[in-house]
Amino acid sequence: MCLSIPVKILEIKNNKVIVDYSGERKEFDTQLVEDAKKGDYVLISNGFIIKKISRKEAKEIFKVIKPKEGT
Amino acid sequence: MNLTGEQLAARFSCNCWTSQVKHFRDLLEGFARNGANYENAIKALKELASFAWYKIIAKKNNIDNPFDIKVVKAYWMGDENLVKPIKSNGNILLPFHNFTVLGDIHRYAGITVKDIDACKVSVAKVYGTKESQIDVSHRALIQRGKEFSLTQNPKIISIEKGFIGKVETGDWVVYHEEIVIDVLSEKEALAFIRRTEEAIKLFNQQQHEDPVI
Repeated sequence: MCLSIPVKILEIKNNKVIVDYSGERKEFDTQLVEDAKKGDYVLISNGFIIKKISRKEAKEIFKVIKPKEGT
Repeated sequence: MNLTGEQLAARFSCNCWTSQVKHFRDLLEGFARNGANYENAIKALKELASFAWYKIIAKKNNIDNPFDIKVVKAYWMGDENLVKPIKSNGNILLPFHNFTVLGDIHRYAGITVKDIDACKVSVAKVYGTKESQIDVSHRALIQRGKEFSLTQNPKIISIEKGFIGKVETGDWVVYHEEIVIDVLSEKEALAFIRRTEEAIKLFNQQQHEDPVI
């Protein structure tokens, strides 16, 4: 199952974004997606955001993978 | 591989989860085989996450076309000349599929190591052939704690013959999501396995807890 994890951008901070990462606020690098904005859904990989996706696409992925509580 | 970058991308992507959910499988498989339905196939390929990686590799190597076959092959097969590490604050990202599939799966329900194992690109020796399937000696991805590795105890599994014609016992093949993509020479196969092991090692080295903000 080739599946990248989507997150929502909560805040922009210089060349970083703060995202909702399975319930935690975490920083990700934006150098690969320079036009990311607050509220966007993006795919992530190892500390970087790699692609903007629509809210609908993010919801489709979250139907398959769901953040576990307390991780 | 005597085919275009777009067709190679379609071979690798046709059976992935996103292609299935978006109903791209038949479109991409047909396009990969004979170039049919070009415009729709390209549109579909651009919707997949893999296209973001092609763009990243192309940009880092000053290549105009993200579907250049060198770029597509680099992402899926890990060509050392084109796959350059991207660094930021201690994180290193390798734009190679077998690095990018590894992740923090313990945080999520619905995705398992077995899923990631099927998602990674694998190379194995052919153990036996059937009409539409072949048996290969598969080294599965395993996980201990947060760290991944390839098992030292391969198992024989059956996979779809996919995009290749004639194949014989003892040949090396590359496959993704249980579909054979191509036949490789032994030299290519062993180099690919080494690159995968290096990618896994790099991922494991970075498995520290990021600070929560």
